[in-house]
Amino acid sequence: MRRTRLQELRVMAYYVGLLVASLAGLMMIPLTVSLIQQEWAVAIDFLLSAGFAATVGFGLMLLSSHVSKDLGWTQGMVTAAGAWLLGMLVGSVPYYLSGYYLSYLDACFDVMSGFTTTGLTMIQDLDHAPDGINMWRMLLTWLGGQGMVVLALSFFARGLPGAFKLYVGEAKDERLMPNVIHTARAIWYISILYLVAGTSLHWAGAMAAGISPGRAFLHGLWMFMAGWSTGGFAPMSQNVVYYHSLLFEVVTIVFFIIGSFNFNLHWALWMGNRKELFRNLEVVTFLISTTVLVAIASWELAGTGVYPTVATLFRKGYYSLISAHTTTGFMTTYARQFALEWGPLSLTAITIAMLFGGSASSTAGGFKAVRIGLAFKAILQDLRKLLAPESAMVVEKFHMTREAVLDDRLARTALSIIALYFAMWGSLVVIPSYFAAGFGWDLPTIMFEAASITGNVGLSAGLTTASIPWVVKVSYIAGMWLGRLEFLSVFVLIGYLTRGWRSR
Amino acid sequence: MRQKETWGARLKRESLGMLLEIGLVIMMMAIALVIAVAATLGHY
Repeated sequence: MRRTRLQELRVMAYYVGLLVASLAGLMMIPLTVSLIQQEWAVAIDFLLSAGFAATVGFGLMLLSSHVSKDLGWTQGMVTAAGAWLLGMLVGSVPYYLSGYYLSYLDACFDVMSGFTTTGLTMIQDLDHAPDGINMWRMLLTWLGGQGMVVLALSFFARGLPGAFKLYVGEAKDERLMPNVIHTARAIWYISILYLVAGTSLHWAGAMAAGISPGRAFLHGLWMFMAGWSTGGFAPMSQNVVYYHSLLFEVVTIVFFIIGSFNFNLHWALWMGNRKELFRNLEVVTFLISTTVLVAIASWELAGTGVYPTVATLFRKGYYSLISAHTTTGFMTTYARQFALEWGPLSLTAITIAMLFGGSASSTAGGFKAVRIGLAFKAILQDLRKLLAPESAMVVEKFHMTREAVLDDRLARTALSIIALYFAMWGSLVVIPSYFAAGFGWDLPTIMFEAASITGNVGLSAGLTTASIPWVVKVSYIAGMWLGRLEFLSVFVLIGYLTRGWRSR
Repeated sequence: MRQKETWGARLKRESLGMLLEIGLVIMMMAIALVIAVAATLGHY
């Protein structure tokens, strides 16, 4: 039976409400941290915000308590995209109440940056920010890395019929297990085990860097959360530079690279499929692209004398490039150093790295390694077809946990998404360019920042501050949202809102 | 009938998976170090 538009809206409101209500529950974590640290004002902010989120979330759920919970594909996409927007509006309330943001828009920017694991920030006086606020920043990033929908499916939903459509709406389509709820739980299982291992190592690294054990634990936990989710937030304004420790830098590299791998790869290796490590198309693509880009950047950075020793080249040059490629955004240099010290070749290499990004169905952003690999194979297939006799069948295969044949549909999808990312990058270059003269921004800085937003990276050449025009802030928020959800569900949401319901 | 895996065997299997991933990252860092050495020496 076909449902009316009102019934559809009610079902979507139910799922969006579920996700928003989940945020209210999650606010209990920073609230607890605030209480332990005796940050009473922040604790009240979280209490008020949780009350607001619960009212909105449960209110929306009550609206559709008597309607069937089944979702169509369109509604699944609209719900996933809409939930991220409403989640941003609700999740930014504690930020705004804390007084550490100059406007509600800045608070929204930071929440979207966290959810999308970008890592650019507009917080004021970060070095003196309360622990509760830092906990919320890192928690949002960590949850965003796994996916808000994945979270809600794992812990708050039991056998809801629209689960898989919501999951796909959040730009994830890998199934570690036949059942989507079990898949979501497997993703959390991997993340939580890594949370334990990663926090322990970061904690030890922070203590070795001279931080007291109590603070080192919080720093270790937060830096793991931000690194694993390829987010890039840090509790101190100097980012990773603050720690002045090679050991700590190496620990962060280990976990943010692993965080940028596909959850399917983690699962395959954990299930004992060791051969997957070197057969997987994404791993091979990532290995080749990082090696080539690191070689290009290193050659110029060593040649110009910016980083004249092997140690500085590794700690500054390689760290920045791999942080960009995994879309993490941790920085061992100051923002303006990219614009002032890096040459055109290394800046181009790091911009390409940011656009390429990590693996599909991971915490990372960008085009994703699988699409780069498929595009390359598609070009290779076309070349082979040209060289082969007319009657020959040219079949290109690839390996992603199992052997698959590259068909036109796969190649077209990969190339379309890459084209959309390029188009978005272009738009994010054009919009700030209008204000460039007034702010003194040059084109390489604007292009660098646009790539950082497009790939959900978080590295900055110094453009992103609270003083930039609101138009640029809104375009960056939209860019992060589109980049993370990989366009489709946002386009469906816009289509749904503008053209009304379309039957499928 | 499939035998149920013991906790010890599961721990071993999953730890090995985790170590393989860490090993891959260490290998990538080693490649980067070799590139850094080559780039630095190449300019002398």
